[in-house]
Amino acid sequence: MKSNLKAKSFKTNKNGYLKIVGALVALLLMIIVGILVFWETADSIDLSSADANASKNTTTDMATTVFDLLPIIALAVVASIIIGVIMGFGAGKI
Amino acid sequence: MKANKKTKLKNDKTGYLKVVGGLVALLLLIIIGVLVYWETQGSIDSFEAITTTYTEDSDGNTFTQWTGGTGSNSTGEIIKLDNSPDSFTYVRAWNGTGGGTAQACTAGTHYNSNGRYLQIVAGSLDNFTQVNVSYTSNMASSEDTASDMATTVFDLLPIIALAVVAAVIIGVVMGFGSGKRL
Repeated sequence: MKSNLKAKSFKTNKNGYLKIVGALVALLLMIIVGILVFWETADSIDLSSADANASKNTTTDMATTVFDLLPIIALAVVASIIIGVIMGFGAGKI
Repeated sequence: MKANKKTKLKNDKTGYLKVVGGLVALLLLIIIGVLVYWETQGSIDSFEAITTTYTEDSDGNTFTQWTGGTGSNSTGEIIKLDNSPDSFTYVRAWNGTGGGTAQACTAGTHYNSNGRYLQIVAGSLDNFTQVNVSYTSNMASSEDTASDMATTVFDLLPIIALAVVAAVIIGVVMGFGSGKRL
């Protein structure tokens, strides 16, 4: 998944950084909305057997880990932009 | 990603003005993003710590005081919470609605939790007709972690502007030796 290939188009886009900031805010908002939807759904499901509940708890535990890791995507995007700008220092075309 | 290649300020007399304008727009969008994020996050009540008073069990039966004989308190009570808890601030059993004496409850001794269900251990508490539960839900806990990371992201975003300014300064300084700039 080379999702960052698309980001290369920002070098020819004057409003590229502004779009990235908007996308990051949208991403972070989507994460907390996702958390809201997931837990509301998971909590509304009552399972009858202990085995089923154990499986459900394992799934929700893993989901918690996933939700913890999701915002790191935003962090990585910001880091990649900063690194991209710094790498441009050597271009000498400013 | 050489994002600053396109700026080519040496060929553009108003280039620096555009860069400054772009940076101001970037910084404004960042604070608008911060505003939108925290306003949205703050408007969702489910992310707050939950304190609820229960006077009946998960089946809708009112708690019956137990005075040592046979009663609902002696067989244990199961309470259905609004959300699955991540951690409890406190669980207190009261021997009278709106007053009386509170009995602090300890996990394992007086209650056990399983998903959304909180079970008061049979016979562990005397004469309670009301249970107050304060807890942080799994939802709130996950959101708290996400918001912590969002804070870090918002802290780092202005560094983009800082890096762009540094790139411009370095570009100008590099031009000193070429004799073709300024």
